Amino acid sequence: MAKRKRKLPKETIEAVVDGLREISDVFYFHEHESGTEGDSDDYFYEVSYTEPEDVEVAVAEFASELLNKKMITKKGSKAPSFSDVFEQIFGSDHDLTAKAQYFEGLVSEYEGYVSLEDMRAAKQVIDSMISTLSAEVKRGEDQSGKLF
Amino acid sequence: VENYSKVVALWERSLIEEQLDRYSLEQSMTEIIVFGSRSAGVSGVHSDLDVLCVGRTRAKRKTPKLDLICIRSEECLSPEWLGSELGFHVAQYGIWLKGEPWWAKSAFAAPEAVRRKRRRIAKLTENVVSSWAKLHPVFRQRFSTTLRRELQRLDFLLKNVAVPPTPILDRDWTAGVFNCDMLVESAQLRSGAHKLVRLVAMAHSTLPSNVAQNPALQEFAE
Repeated sequence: MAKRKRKLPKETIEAVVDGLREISDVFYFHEHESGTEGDSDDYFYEVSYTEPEDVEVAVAEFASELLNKKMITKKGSKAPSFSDVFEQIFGSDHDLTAKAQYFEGLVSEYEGYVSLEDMRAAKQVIDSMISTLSAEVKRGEDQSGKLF
Repeated sequence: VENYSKVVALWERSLIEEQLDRYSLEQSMTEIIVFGSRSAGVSGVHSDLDVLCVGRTRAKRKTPKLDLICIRSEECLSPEWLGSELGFHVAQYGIWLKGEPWWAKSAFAAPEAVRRKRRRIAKLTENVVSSWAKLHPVFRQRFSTTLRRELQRLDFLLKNVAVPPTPILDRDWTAGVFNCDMLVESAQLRSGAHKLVRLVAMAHSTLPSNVAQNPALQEFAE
């Protein structure tokens, strides 16, 4: 069965894209040399990268902005999760909601730690969500201002 | 025994709901352990199922209903695992659905687990304080609760006691088992300590009402 396409205001999509860009900007991966001077065998590259708490708070800011603009609502008395935001806006069966759930899994810390591999993958997920939505905004510019 | 049966039923339901291949999972894993609020019998209606699998591969999968962590068998013997917060918790509260708790008696709270917890508290405090004005009241509430729970977990680790599931932390907090000032003191924060004290103190004095509405916290919104 074909998925039902929702019609959403362009302003909502743009607010989501702007928020996702801010989350994307939180990610950094800095490669630097490490080791003992004088012994080339001991040199290796280390990567310092985004900490899970940076992403945690960036996602909260993103959802807060949408809550304040009344584009989404609270989940009962609780704060919505990242995937709740997409479920509310696009629906539970939308690809973006599935990507948001995958993102949550990647950045969920365990022992205060998220692996470099998962953090890189999380950044890619966010960037692909931005690309999908930006393309929709562009496609919808010639239309009535309603997207999806 | 009653809880064991419940936990087995939940695991079997999760395998179906998450479309996991039971046969290949059970073949490749030497231990399957349910931990957290479900194993301790203190879960709520929205609690997920926490499962640790020990076997050939390292992986994790988190969905609203299942939090699955897979580690390699050799890791169970490592000081990093035995001394970790999660390893210690699983050893104390885990229910083994497959395999035996052969490593559980060697688990403890290593200094590294304490260091990691202090780092997380410091970093989260710093970020929450600097973003306070942008956060919706529900997120202010959430982070106040998160910080309070993390301080409680640190307190357990410092005492070399396994951290209990979250519902037990909440119950003990409401019952006044924890001393707010001592918890904050034990975090040994280099910066932002004052603001953290305020945040946690507010969470303590206003529970179960809404922390975010407390006028004393308006300082962060300015």
